[in-house]
Amino acid sequence: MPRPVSEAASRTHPMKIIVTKSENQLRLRLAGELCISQAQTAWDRFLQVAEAGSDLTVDFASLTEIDTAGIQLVLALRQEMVREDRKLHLVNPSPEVAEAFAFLGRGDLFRDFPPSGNASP
Amino acid sequence: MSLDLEAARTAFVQEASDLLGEMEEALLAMERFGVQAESVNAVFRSAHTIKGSAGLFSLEDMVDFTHILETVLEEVRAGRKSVDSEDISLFLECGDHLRHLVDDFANHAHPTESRQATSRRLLERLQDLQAPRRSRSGKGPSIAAGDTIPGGDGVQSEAWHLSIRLDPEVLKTGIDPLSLFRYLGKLGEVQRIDVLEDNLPSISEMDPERLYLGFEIQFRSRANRTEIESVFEFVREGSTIRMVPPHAQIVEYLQLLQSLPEGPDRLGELLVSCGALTTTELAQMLSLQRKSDLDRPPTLGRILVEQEVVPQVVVNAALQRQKSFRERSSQESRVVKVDVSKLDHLINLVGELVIATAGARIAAIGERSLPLEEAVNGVTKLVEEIRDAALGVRMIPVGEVFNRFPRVVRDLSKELGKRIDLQIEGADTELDKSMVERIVDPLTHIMRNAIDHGIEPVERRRLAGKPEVGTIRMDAWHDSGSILIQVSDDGGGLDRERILRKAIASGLVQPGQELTDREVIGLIFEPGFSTAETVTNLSGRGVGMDVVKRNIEVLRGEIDVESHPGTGTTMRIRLPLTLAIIDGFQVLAGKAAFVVPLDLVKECADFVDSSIHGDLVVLRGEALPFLRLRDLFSIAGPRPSRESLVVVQYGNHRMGIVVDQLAGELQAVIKPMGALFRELKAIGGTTILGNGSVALILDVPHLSQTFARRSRIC
Repeated sequence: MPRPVSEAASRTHPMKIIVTKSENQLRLRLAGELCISQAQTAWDRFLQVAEAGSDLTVDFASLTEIDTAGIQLVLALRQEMVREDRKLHLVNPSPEVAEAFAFLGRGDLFRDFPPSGNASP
Repeated sequence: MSLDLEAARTAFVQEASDLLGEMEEALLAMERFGVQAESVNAVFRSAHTIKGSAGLFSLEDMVDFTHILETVLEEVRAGRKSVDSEDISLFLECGDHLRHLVDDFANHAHPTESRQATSRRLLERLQDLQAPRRSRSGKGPSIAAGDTIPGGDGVQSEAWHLSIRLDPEVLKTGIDPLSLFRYLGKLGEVQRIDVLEDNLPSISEMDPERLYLGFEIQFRSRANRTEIESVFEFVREGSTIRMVPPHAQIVEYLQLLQSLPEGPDRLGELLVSCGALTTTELAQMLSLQRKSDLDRPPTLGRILVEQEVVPQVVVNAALQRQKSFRERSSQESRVVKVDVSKLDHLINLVGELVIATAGARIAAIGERSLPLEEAVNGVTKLVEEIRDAALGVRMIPVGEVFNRFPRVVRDLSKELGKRIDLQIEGADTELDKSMVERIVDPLTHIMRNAIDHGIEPVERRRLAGKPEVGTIRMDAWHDSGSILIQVSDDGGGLDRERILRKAIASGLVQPGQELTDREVIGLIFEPGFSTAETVTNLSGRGVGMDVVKRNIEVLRGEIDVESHPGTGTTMRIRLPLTLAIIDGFQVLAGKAAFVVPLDLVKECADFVDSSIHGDLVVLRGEALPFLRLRDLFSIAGPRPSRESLVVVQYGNHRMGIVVDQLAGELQAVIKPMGALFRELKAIGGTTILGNGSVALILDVPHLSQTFARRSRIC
């Protein structure tokens, strides 16, 4: 069988995380790829917002790819928010992201927010 | 029928016969080691594939038959039906019947009335088997039946359950587990994945490049364990990958839960929620676990052993068996099937090439041109390599023949009420394909003799203080250009007195004639000799050991017997590796050229008359029987002033051949002798030399035997 290598590992495709703040609400917009090669950077930003202490919305509309490392980060963030009893909304999954979460049986995380269907940034 | 269809027909026949072979092997494994997922699946898969292919050719009889067989096998696979030795016999008969149906198809024959009757008879018996509450009283204990393991019924789930805890470092290698699971989807249907976050630390403590997640996967597939395992080939190290097959025993799930870090309660729930287990099955399992917790965490093997379902040896043997199954299935994909006639054509061409090269070589030497000679030498070397490679292609493992014997032993020993264990060694020893086909009959005869006459009845073995189960061993190995195949039994050995009585009665030996043990044993190869006190339908059908011996001699081989009263008999067959091309050593006597197989030549020496003592020649203090080619073939003309001695050895016999002149090595393409000359004993064949003339290939085995006999007498 072919050795399955995550594509992100073999080419560089910048990931962007844009944080906006309105009232007591943080909004995290993810763009590009959330994969193992960007895991360290993404983790730094996630940690910052986790320590900010407010409710959080993560927007996946412009995220074109996510791998296991990325999903694990999202799950860790979610656990943290639940533990601190803060609200976390995961919204606008692109089709790729929605599919990946659904494949791992976690499609329900987006349940309240139907997929945006618009993957382009 | 168009050519394409004809090719498809051949492919189907070939495939079906391979599958039936696998099916038989798996059935015998089932009988021996109990019902294992691997063997049941193999049997099921064979039946299923044959059904599918038969459908393509609209072979309704075969489709209907395999369908019923498959239905029964499905019951076995699901653990709803236990299997005893009688059932195995039925399945084996079904396999035989399918083979006949396939043969009919191959021969473009319509199934005869008797064939259809067999079909109906077997189908009736299969349907009886299917009937739910079949009375099994009065039968032997069933093997590894689901219902004999308390709380060990097969679960309902038809999916594989995979528990995957990958090496935490896996992400850093660039392998994405998600893509592994997607790849899994190519082997079947990934029904459900559950991600376990139990070990995921808080975000501030985590290393984002480590994997903390566990995965539980419900997977529906016809793929076998090896195929599924191969998906995880690159991540196996440091990972825990557990697989529970469809309809597994509950203990397997129990064992799974105990081997995973999350603990049985948590995982138990998960297994129910993902559909691997029903709540009843979980309850059953947990009660089983409580029982075993009193003691210590059990392994599946230990539970089975403790509950006295299967003895430890059986478990070990089964594990061994699974291993060999796995090893073999991984080899299958690397094989290309080629029509034998194409191979034969290739070998013929290589033969012609060898002769043509020899011709070119002689011509080149005549030209006295060094560059030309060097070029021809280069070509000759390559041709030799091509010859070896081409012959190598035709080599197949002797196991292809050995494989049929487990069944023969099983059926015959049952019929005779004997208990026999067959051990096979060296099944991967290779031999030319044409030889493999031609040793089947002699070997079958020898095996039947061993089963019928060799191994004693249980009662007699017990009285003799021997184990009740007799052992027959088949071995094969290579030995200096030959292959040796040996069949030995631990039976009573040959009865010297009885052989002698029989030989005297049939006039082979005069009363009062003194014979050595070896000579007496040799009598069994005489025509018309059979010692069985009662003629059974196994051996003693008029085909005696003399026919076996003749068949082996036709292959330029020899057979040898060793027998020890009370401890057993060993039959050893020595055969050349190929019948097509040999490395030869050319010698001359007068104007005639002769070829001695090079493997058999030990050394060459000058021959001087002073070293002759009677019929022997003394070479460095050792006495050798010898013959002069001139005398043997009555070649006229004066002897040259200097003769040479070629020392040959075949098996344990050494002898000298005196020739006029040594002419060196060559590759000899063996051409069979015409029917007229087939009775000539000293000549094994002919070959064509580079200059176009014919040389005779000496039959050294025959010569050395003749002379060994002669030298013993004097």
